[in-house]
Amino acid sequence: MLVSILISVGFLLACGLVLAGLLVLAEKKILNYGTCHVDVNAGRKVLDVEGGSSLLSSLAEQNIFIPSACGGRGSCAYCKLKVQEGGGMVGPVEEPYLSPEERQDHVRLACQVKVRRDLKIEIPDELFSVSRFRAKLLHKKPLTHDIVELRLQLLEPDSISFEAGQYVQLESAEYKGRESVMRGYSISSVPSDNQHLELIIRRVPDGICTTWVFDHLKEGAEVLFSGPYGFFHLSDTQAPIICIAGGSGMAPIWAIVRDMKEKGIARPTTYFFGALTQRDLFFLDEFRKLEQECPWFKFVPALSKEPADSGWTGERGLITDVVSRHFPDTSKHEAYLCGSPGMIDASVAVLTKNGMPEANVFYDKFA
Amino acid sequence: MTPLADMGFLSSFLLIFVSAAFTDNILMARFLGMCSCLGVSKKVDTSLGLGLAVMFVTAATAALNYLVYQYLLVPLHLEYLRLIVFIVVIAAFTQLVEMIIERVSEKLYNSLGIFLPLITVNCAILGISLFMLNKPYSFLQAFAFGLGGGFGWFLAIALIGGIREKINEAALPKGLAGPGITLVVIGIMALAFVGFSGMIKI
Amino acid sequence: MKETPDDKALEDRLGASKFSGEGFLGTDHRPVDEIVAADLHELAQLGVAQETLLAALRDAFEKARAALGGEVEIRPGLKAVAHESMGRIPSPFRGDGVFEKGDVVLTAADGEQIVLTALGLAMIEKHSFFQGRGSRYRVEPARAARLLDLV
Repeated sequence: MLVSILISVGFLLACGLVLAGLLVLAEKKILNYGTCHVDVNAGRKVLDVEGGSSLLSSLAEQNIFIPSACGGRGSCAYCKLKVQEGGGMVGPVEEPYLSPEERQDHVRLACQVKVRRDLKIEIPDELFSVSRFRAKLLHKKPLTHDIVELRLQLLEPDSISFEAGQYVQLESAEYKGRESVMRGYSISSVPSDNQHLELIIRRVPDGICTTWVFDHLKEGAEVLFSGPYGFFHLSDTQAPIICIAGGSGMAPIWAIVRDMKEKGIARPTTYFFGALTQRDLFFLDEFRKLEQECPWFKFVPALSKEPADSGWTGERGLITDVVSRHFPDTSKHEAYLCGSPGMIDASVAVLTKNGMPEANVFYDKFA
Repeated sequence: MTPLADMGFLSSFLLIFVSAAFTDNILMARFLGMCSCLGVSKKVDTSLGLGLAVMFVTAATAALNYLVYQYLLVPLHLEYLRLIVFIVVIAAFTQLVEMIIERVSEKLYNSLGIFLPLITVNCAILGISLFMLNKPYSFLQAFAFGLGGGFGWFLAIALIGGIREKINEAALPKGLAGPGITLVVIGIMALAFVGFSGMIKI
Repeated sequence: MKETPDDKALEDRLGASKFSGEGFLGTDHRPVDEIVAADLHELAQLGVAQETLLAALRDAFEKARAALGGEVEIRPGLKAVAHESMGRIPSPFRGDGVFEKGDVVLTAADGEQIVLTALGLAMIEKHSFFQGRGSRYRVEPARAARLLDLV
């Protein structure tokens, strides 16, 4: 009796162990792709990566940060790059995101390409200068009822080189069951102060990252971000400039204008700051001071919902109407816009109606 | 002596295959594997994918389990452990096949491999392995039984998928949409399959 | 009941994610198919075509968006305000692309609210998906039809 019990238990145990061992062995043998060489931009960099994981995470391990918002779930399609060789076939997940031309060009989603063999890939050159930073939050200053300014001291690497107008991807920490996410925010500090970074962030109801910034992030805490990203920066021309930005969209403009001052670029510049009421305004004194120091700069705050009987003596009305009143002819100007898609669409419409070629309108929708 | 032994090898193989696929259809006559069938039969292409995966796994595990049973369980007098051993063998086999397919062919993986985790624990597959022990089959006959049973399941889910694609479920009364109408369809189809019963006795 | 890998992936993406802290299903435990079928059924009972409702919602959304944060009156007793928000959000339905963030809140005189987003409208248009109960962005078909004076 005892023997038969022992035999059955022993047999089941052996059966389970053998099969489990077989699977573990198989995983090691079958799913082991060895070391693969990834050739980036025709030999500019050759990486040795352990095969088997996605191209996106393999590149991140080698400190090449392809922009990605969804963290490799194949739903944001930000991580597009060209895989010239070794990418295998286009999977069902990425298929809907690729246009016929892109497929012709071997464009793939980095998160869906598994490194199985040697690869040849092409990425935009600017991504080489993107790194991941560790920083300390020096202060979190409320600017209005729903906007804060963050000032970060870079720890590692301890300095950053960027152009005024670019943005970084801030990584939120996990809180209350929310995952860690990455969100883009424009840099509001000037490039010359390369050991610090300032961001202007507006609270979004239910926003994963902004809720973290407002409610959970404490001064002195460590913050992770990657960057710099983006092509929003001052052009090389001498054309007079119109800037339009409201709320936290002020960040890149604030950086660009101060950068111009430091570099002695004296192109005539008018900055229209659109807001609803007086409580949404900030940095008024700073901009007034800048106006006095720089004769080429003009600051025009405009309120659209300010009660008629308040003491406000500045511009009133929709920002687009105010711009139109000041610049009935915009054909010689360049425009720099930053804000919500609705504001940008409306601004582009007004500027082009008043004669500006669309190629002279630069904007950052944080896309 | 069983009657099967009198027949030629090919005819017994064919006979077992046909009977397992039609007269003893695992889905229609025994109502096994219903869960994955209800869930995955919304479209023809996914039905075909899952059906093929089931057919492959059923045939392979029937053969595998036959060997395990005849050469391990019977000599050790542990026949009563067959249920639990078969489950483990099938689960390990599907995992292994998934790995191999992923390594060998991306195309095959995208069309078939993604269904393998779904059928790691599937009662139709276990059912075939257990039912084959009721008859004194040889190894090849057991394989034929597994292949036929899997083919029957494949055929049934492909038909159901085709019918469901044609049904406009939005136009149905709320309570009937989804699994409700699918069960009605399966019931009517099962009547047809019952018509086969008794045609072949093995 | 088992689900196809596609359905399961969709349900995963509809849940709380890196894009939507709350997810699109709210506290609704029904499968997506069932939510869609129930809402379409409700619309059919009301005698309102999905296209009609969608057009009215989109009209309200565009009007509020054009007002850049100001309040607009869609019809007597129904006000709409757009709240801007930077960035874009990808649709949980694969291949539908990314949509601008920001929402438009419709508020009736008695305080009843509907919150519209560009993504939400696209999901209604393409998939008849009005989002799950308990989601902040659910467009309850009956309520929307009533507020927009379609019934």
